[in-house]
Amino acid sequence: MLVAFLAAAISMGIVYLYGAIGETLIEKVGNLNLGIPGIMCLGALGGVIGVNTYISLFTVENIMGWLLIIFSMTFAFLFAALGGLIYAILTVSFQANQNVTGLALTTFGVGCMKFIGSNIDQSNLTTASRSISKLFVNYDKLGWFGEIFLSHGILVYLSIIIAVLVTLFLNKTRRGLFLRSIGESPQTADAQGINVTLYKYMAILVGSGIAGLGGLYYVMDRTGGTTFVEASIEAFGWMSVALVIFSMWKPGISIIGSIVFGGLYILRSFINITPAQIKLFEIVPYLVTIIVLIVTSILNKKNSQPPASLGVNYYREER
Amino acid sequence: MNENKKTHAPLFSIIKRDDLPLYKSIIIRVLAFIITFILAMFICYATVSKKSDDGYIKMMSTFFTGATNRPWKLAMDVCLLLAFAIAIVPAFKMKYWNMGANGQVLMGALISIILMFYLNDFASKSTFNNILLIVLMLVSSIAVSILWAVIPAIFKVYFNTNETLFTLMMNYVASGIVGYVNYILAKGKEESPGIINLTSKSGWLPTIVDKYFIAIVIIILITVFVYFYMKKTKHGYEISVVGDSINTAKYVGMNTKKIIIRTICLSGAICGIIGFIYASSINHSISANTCGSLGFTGVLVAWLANFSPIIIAGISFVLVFLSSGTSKISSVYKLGNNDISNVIIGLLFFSILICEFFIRFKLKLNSQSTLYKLIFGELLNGKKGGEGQC
Repeated sequence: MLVAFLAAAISMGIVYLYGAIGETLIEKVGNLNLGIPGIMCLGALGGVIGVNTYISLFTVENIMGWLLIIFSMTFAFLFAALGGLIYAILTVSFQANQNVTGLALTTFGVGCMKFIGSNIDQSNLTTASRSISKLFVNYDKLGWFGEIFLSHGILVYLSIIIAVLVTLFLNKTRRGLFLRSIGESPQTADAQGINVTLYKYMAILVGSGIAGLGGLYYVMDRTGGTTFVEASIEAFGWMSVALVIFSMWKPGISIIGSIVFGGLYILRSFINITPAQIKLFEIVPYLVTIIVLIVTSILNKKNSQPPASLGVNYYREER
Repeated sequence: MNENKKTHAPLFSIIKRDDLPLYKSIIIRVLAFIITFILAMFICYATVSKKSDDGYIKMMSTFFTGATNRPWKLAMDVCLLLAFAIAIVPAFKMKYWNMGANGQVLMGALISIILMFYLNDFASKSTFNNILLIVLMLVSSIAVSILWAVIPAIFKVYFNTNETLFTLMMNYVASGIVGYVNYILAKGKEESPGIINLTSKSGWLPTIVDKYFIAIVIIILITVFVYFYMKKTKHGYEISVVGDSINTAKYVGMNTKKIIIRTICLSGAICGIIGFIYASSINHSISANTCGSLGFTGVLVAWLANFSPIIIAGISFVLVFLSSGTSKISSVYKLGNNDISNVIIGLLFFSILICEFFIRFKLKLNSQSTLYKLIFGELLNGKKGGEGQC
């Protein structure tokens, strides 16, 4: 029971993890992207189109797992990055308000996924999903360890690798330092000769792409290709935004945070409660996030604060 | 300028404009709308033509009948969006990002629904009792919504907690509570008790002229009130000072904490009235999706209208008109679902955001940029310096 619960918590949490890593990267350059739910929907749409492209090029029988994953990931990343590009052009180049642009992007992304999604072929998704959702064979021979940690698809392990890489990039590299400095004070970074616009664009594009993989993961792995257009990816997107706060802008912590959030989400299917109580259970992750938000703001510690210029556009000529 | 020296000047410099005359900025916005509308209809037609042989003109007539065949419903929808945006305006003017209008409205509507449900017997005894119930619903909706709105505001004021994220989370807490209470009201058997007081109509606003008439009048009154409150009162002036610079407000001796909390209370109260309208006039029932994403759309509308109630009304009308027209198209031509209207609304917002840029800034070619020299180099031969500026 506990083993199944933990395995499911990890499997669910990864959806939030992808979104949170992407959003952290974007927030670290000082852009609060409320378009993450829409971007994740675009990622899911791209992923499904990628799968369909693979199938139309090759066949449904004898799927080459790795090639299918490359196809679907590339499409998911590109679609999501395209959403990010809209956001970046509007907020970085065109100085549009970040919250407004983000919300518009969410409306657009969710609409795109549901509208285009309902007009494309979904008949092969379940078959295709089988070659994505399991990486190791015979993992059950390792008992509980295998069940919890080795029963997942490649996208799960990839997300953790990405989280670690992003942490290393932000904290241990020179470019990571530049990136963080833009989030704290773009004026200072600009004066240092750092190309603020370029960094912002790169962070937003890559961050959006990573977040988009969360949408792909949810459709093709977590639900096994059974839920696509009806998927509530938008709600998961908001949870990802919450997870960024919960993990205090640290991708490393968000790995643990995602499992906690995932656990809170799936807990209801593991304990015996009425449907009414399930509704109350659904609010727990949000309450936890609110508490974290309050506690971090009361403690006011330097290393648990959002980037100082978060939500403020940088316009060079303004003093 | 030394030709060999490498410069990083961008091709365009962005320069802030002096205020553009109003008519020009309106022309730019209307143009943006028309371009998006044409593009949107093209997207619609591209999908429709796959499913039906109807021509473009037939589709457009479907669009217009869909948008106009139920004028009262159209007016109600416009007013709802208007009300959401108006509720957000006072808070926004202080640069307080209230993303939680959805949750505040839901909580207001919820308490009204609970009162309607439990006081049905009491209210069906006499007309006076029914009026009493309606007043009670209105007052408690306002109170609960204020409470829901003011919690994040208190933390914002005292601990500088990020209100954008706090109010965002409060939406989902509210939806969870609504879901839970619905089960309780339905005695745990079904997901919701459905329409409350369908036969007795206790707690329902009476039908005068039309079912929605009273609700529409209430919203118009609120809009007028907010307009005068923001423009003509001392409170409104204080709000704009706090919004421009909180430090200035402090230096001239304003109690900024009090102003912020008072304004959020006003914002919450309007949300409470919207909640009351949902319960008493529109749905007579509640679900987590009762107000869709109107809270977010309201944010977009309020921002893009630059907080002006008249422009808010205009944009609300355009948006609702577009989405009811496209939803008719998607139901007539069986496009699967109504999400094409979200795609179009998203596109419309993008185009308005882009034209906001051109209203606020102008682009100037930069003669010192490498790209400029590359493109115009030959033309400039002999003419040293160029006419652009950094």
